[in-house]
Amino acid sequence: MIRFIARRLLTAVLLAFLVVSATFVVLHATPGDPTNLFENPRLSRAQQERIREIYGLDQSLPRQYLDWLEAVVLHADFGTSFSHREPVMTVLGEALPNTLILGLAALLIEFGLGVPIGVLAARWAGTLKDQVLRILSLLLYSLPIFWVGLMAILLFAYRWPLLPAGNMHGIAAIGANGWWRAFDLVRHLVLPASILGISAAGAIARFVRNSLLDTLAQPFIFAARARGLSEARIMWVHALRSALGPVAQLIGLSLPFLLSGALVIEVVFSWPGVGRLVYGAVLSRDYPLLMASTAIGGVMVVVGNLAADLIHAWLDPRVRKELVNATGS
Amino acid sequence: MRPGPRSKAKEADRSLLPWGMGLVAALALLALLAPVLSPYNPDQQIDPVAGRYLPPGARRVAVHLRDGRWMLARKAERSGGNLLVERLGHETRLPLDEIVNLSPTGVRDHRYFLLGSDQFGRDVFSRLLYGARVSLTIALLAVALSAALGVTIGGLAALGGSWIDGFLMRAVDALLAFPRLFLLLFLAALVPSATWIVVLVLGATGWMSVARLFRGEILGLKGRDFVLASRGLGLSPLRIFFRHLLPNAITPVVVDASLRVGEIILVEAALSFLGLGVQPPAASWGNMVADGSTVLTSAWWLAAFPGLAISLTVISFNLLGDGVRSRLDPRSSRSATTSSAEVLG
Repeated sequence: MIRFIARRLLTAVLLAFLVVSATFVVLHATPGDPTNLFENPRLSRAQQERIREIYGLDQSLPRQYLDWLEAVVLHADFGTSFSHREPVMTVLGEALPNTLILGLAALLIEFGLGVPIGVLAARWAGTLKDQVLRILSLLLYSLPIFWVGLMAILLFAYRWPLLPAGNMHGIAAIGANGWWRAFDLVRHLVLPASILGISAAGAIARFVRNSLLDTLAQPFIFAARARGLSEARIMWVHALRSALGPVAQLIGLSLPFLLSGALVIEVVFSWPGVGRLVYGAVLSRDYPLLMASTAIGGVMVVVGNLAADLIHAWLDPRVRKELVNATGS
Repeated sequence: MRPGPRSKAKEADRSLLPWGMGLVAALALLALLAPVLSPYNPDQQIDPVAGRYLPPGARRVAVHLRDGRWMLARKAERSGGNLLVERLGHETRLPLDEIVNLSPTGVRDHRYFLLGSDQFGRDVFSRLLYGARVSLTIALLAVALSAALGVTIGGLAALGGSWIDGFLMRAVDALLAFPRLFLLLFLAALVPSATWIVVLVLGATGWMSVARLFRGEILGLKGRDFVLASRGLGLSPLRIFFRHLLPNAITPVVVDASLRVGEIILVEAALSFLGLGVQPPAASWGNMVADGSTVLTSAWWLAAFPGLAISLTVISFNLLGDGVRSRLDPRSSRSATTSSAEVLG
């Protein structure tokens, strides 16, 4: 098992490294550079050249790449963000927890809603109720979330002012005590997290339904019925446990999507997270920030994929055996 | 065991197909007939002052002046030698000889803004119909492009020997590892925006899973007797590919493509909403929502209706895709792992 993990990690790290390097080349080889950001009629050519020199943009591409790699690997230094004029790690470090809060809340809603709906749909497979749930989940994953976000703001922040329309904290919460701050955060979290969660719950529900239907057709369910176990126990314990394997993989796979998936919602709700940061960095061609977020994205993909496999193996003894056999340990 | 829940469930899946087909056909018709169906020119800024931000259902009298301009007014009545025009809360008198479209009581023309008007006084309903052309064309072309790329690369990987296969599949892994929107943002920000570039970018970020799928199919077929036989007969590799492998491996690609159209429409809309897709003045539903989002509270209809159009279209295509899959794909339970992950994105 340990050998399997080590091997997976090694290939994954190599893969992430390749992707990051490719990003670097593509980013720097395309015309235009961040000095556009400082474009200012009062800025002379010489001053622009000076800025390029300070940020090392006048160097050759391989040189820039090696410098960047050296700083990252040896000093864990991702450089200074062009647009924020602060170390990239500081900027990302402030945004990452915010994105994780939003992403985890969304993930909870997504699976908390998606799994039960999927189980019910599988239970009622082929009946009218199943059909209604299917169409409901199809509706959920067919809606553009940025639009749902805007409509939610329109309804719940303006028409009936129940919830805040954006940002993560209200002005009143600045300097307030912990409980008040937490309450304020939850209020701000309700709309973006539930929109993200509910829209993804449709896909999860459909996935669980199909996965369960496959499982229910298998011999071990037949055997469980023959042993006289109750329908509910078969469904919720025997079938679901085996059907959850692929679902658990989905959780792992959705990790990197927490980083980007929330992007649109973060933009709509002015949530100070990584997605909005990346969006701004793309618009302003903030190389250091983009490179750092790509690298972190790569690491999240690696960790997510590995986590997915491990969770799957933990839930399903058949997969565990397969994995161990494949690596011969 | 109760009588086959699986087969009953599949039957239910299939029952959605006619709905999907009907809705998609209706949408395609709307887009095709946009010039006939749209009441007004989608780009005409008829009266940028009195015509802007009119709510859905607003009716205005349209006074056509001799100098070619149009004026939208709440009321226009003849009184003596003048036309009494109520516009922007004021009453003004215009000499009759300045007006082209007089009728015995007032003027002949009026405008009816079924879904309201935008910040330039353009008719939202007409723009929606024309926007359907943009969104549907982009989606269909992008899906076709990614399918073509995927089939080519997947085919190369499956038939090109282990070295090429290894390289291509690692590349697929690497690209798939990155959230689609990330890739799209990168590409869209790097290249200048034009509609055909949006198609290229969407196609270029969508082929990876097709390549994997098609490669798997071809690998499965490669060792089958009829392929070995055709090889034994000395047929050229190209002929074997096009006559024997492709027709047998294409079905899952078609199923996959039909499921992807809805998703691509969503992605294009998000990209245009973020200002990196279709650029104004071209109307795409995504950038219409973006326009509307800045005046959300004062002119809700600008964001609401294009979003509704996106939703309806995606729902129709997803119904169609679901139906097609349950009909064509024998392993229809192989569910949308990737697409649900992309829904997260």
